[in-house]
Amino acid sequence: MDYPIWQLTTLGGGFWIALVATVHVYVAHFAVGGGLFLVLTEQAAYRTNNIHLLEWAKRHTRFFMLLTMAFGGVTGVGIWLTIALVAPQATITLIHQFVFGWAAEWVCFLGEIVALIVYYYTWDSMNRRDHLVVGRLYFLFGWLSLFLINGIIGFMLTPGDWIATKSFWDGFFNPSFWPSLVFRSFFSAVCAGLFGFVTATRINDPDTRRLAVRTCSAWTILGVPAVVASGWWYMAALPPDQYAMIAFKSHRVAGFMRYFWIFGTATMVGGLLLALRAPVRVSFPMALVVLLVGQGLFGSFEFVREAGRKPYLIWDTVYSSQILKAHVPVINQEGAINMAKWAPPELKSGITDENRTLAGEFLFQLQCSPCHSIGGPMNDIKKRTAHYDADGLDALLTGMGKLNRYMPPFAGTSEERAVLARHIAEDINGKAPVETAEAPEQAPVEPAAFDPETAEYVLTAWCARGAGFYAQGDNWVLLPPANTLRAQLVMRGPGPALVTEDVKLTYTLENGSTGELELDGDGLRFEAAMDRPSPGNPLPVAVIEARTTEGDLLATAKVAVPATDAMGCADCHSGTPGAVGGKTIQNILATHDRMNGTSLADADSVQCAACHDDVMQGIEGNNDRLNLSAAIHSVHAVYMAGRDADGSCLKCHPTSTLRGRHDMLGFVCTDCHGAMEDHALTLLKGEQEAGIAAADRLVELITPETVANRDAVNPRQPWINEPDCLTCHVDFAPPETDSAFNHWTNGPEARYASRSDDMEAVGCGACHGSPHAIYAASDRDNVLPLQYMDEAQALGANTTCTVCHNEPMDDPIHHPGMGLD
Amino acid sequence: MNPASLIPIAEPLPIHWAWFDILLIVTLTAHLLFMNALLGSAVIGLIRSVRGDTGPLRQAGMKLPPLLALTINMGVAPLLFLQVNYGNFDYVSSVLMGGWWLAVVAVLLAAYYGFYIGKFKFDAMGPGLRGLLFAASIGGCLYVGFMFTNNMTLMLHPETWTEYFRVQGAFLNLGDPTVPPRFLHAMVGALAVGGLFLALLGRTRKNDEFVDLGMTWFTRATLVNLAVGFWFLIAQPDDIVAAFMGGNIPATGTLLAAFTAMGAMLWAGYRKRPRQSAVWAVITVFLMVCTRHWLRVLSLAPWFDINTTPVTGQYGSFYLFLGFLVVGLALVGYMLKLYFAARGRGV
Repeated sequence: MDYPIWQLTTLGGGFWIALVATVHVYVAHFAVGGGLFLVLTEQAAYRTNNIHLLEWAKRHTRFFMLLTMAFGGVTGVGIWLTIALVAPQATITLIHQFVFGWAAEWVCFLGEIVALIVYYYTWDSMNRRDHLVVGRLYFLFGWLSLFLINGIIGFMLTPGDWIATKSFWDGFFNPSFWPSLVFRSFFSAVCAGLFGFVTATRINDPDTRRLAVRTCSAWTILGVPAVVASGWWYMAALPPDQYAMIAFKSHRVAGFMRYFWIFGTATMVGGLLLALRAPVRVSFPMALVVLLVGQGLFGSFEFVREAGRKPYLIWDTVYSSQILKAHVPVINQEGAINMAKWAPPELKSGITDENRTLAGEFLFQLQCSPCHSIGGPMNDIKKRTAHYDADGLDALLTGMGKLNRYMPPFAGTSEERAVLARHIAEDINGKAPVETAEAPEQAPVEPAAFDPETAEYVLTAWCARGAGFYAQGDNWVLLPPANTLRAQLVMRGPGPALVTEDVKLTYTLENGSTGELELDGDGLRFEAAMDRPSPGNPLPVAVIEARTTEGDLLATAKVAVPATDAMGCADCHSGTPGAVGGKTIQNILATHDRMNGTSLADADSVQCAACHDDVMQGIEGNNDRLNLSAAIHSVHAVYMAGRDADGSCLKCHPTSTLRGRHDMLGFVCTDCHGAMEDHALTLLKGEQEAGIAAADRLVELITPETVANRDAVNPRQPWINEPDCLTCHVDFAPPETDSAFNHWTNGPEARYASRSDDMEAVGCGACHGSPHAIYAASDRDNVLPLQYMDEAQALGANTTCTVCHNEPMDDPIHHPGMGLD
Repeated sequence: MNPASLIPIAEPLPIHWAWFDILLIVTLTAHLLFMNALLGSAVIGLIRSVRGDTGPLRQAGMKLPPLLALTINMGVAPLLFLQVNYGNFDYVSSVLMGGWWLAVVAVLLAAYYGFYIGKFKFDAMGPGLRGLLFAASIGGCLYVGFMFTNNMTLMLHPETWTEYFRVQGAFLNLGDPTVPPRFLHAMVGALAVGGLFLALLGRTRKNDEFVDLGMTWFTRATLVNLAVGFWFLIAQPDDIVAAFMGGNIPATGTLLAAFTAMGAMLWAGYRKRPRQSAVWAVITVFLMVCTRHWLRVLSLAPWFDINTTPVTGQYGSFYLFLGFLVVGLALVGYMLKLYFAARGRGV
């Protein structure tokens, strides 16, 4: 936040560091191993009196000098200049912590240069003993350079006790120091073999060429397993967080690790092939190929190491965005633009419509450009964010660094976050905001006939799920289109009675599917499981008929059976908005894979409930994983924190979810279920009570909105413990509060859609309609009350007791109130 | 906008700041001497070569790659120590220069390999191509030098940093009137020391022609540099000039001492005594680096007081460095002894 930003677009900071660092480090390791290789070759030439071998050693020295002293020396400085430009804050912290480590390395660098110059220029003038001494001194200086730099590089990944002590020695001899030193030493030996091939394959004398090439092969082939073994030690020595990042957390790391094994094997094979007798015209090009393969091996290792350090440049201290971890809370409070010394002056007085683009550009440069390019070959922000609109990106930025810790958290205010999101989505990607899919206009349905004068029966119905959404594809099921249609047949009269015997209830949906409603276990109502999707029709209407066992029609009714897949998944997960198509499903599965190390995107068929219990689907027994509702809500709560119902719940759930009286009065999802964070916490705490350890980490990532702290959140199980109507409607009286959050029904039978009146006869839904669609609701939902009362209201409301009773009633017998008080 | 608000907070120092200034001055002196020998001898050799005398370029050309290796090495240390005490200024100027600054790496590498090709293929190339190659490498070195001059001056003037908000992309400190004389002062100084290097080479190889040529360049370039130095001084803001004209005793004293050393150096130069001149040249360059340091301190005075930078007092790593330095220099000395012994034996 203290330094100006090197303005980068196509070639981002990550590109420059990768470009300079990977080639330099390869050559730098050759500079160490190659030094030992040279002096041992010279020694062997003297011992065997092989003039050809000695001549090769001389020629190889020149190659060695041209590569290591010139290219290695300058690119080494190049890394320094590059990181100072891309990450001045982290670099200056490193400089101040390890100035004398670097200064000591400079002495070794000087020793290397002097030794190599002397070694090269005195092949023909210095006596053998002295020349070998100089060669050995070169190797000593080279290896000590490695020793010193290894301490500093290792510190960045595993600072160990330095975090607390800030001691040079704690940072230098950090937890990965020794395994890394051994690993790099072996790698230097491999490099000596790999680079040795380049000159060895061009020796004129066939016997010497074979000897030299096979020596290089031995260094390579023996070196690679040693590298792998010490690499395993290196991994094992990593602290748990860094180990987890490399071993489990990141798909990106897994990719680099795969390349490491591929290039490692290829290097071994190349080394073996070169050991075979082959003419120069074959072996020399092959040597160059193997050299490139070695670069791949080393490059992939360096990428793994760098990736393991994410999201930091210096672990637990400086984020890869260059922001100090300790500063983030203050920046979130004060604002990134306000805290950044080099923010454009015109932004200091606040973000306006006029400077919104400038603010977005600056925030991108500040927090994204250290790693991301715009349209460049590495870490292209356009590719990674192409399917997000501004709102989706805002959600991504909200959750960044929390669940997926590969990237640092966004640091700044929510306004700045939104501006950055809009800049990336609209200015860089040209992506317009996705409009939330509105529920389609649906024609009202003609109510079934009912003559209050002559009708002997009243047939009433409702659904267990008034929202009734589903999400599935050809090979993927999140939630099937499951609903339960419920109905009660009442024989009208002075004392109306439920009819449950000698009748048969059937339904016919608009799409023609039919079925029978069966009497439930309590013998109070008839039920039918509905599992048919209803594409394009969120509120299909079912016609229910009650007949005698002989087939005589007793009563007919119509009721809306919600079933919609107008989910908002595509807003963030790619694909066509308002639907869950194949592209969206692939994105969801790939995201799951990336975050959880699964391989669902490649599976033939995926049923989410196969791993995540779901009472709705009757699937239980996965006791080591979160249930489906807890998993999906808590993960999304991390990304959609701080939002209202429209910005969170209804970004995913269909906008037609709440249609009834509460909707008309202005209530929203969060009034009953709590804000996204609260809702997720109730489910997570339910899982914690059930002993699901996976809930713990997510609980820590979510801060409650409505209540003071996490302890105040009451746990619940999805579909079982639901908001209780009587929280607000105390004793069925007019409500004195407008929030039902944190008060849950005790069990499944206490839920609104299952519950009955004080007489334990008539279901709540029989008179008031389906949950989320309490009468008066939408035209289609209202089809049933309109049948009986010609008015969209609860059955029996406003003294319409005569729907069932053939005379007006004075006592509110079903529950207190009933408009009769 | 107050430029002071743009200055990053200084990081704590491990030991007292004076150590870093001392190390900076000493190692920069070494760097400049190597750089001068490299660049000066290359330019003189190229000029002679254009006039038909390839001898100096051939002799100097053989030394240029190792000289560049040592120049780079000796440049690392002062840049490191500079970043410890003044990194919060230097990193800003580096970033402001952006691509201009990073290009130093590529240009230096190209110049390096140019010198190597010149060395290994000297006779294989025609004079035109050879001249072009050396000219290109010298041009690369001049670019690097000019970028350093820009960086080292831009870091001294936070009042010019606000240009960052006006221009799109990186920029150089071309509006600073001290940049041309400062750059020229370093480059003309390089010609002088380059001449001295050739003279020393001639003395070692008992080549009087080289000695004459080198000492002539040495004395004449020094005289020219006296004028450039005066330009450099008067190009400074008035308060800085006043400080060097008696307003600041240590700064004035250092400048006078440098003048005195330069007088002695010229005296030895006119007497064609390369080794004596070399001793005075080292002293003069050292004192000029000290003067340069005063210029930095005085320029930054309105913005920065290094005494306010906290010190953590972690001397342990300093001793580690000293250990490496003592043993490393001893081993370097030992290897040079072996080298000269081998040359003497001519085995």
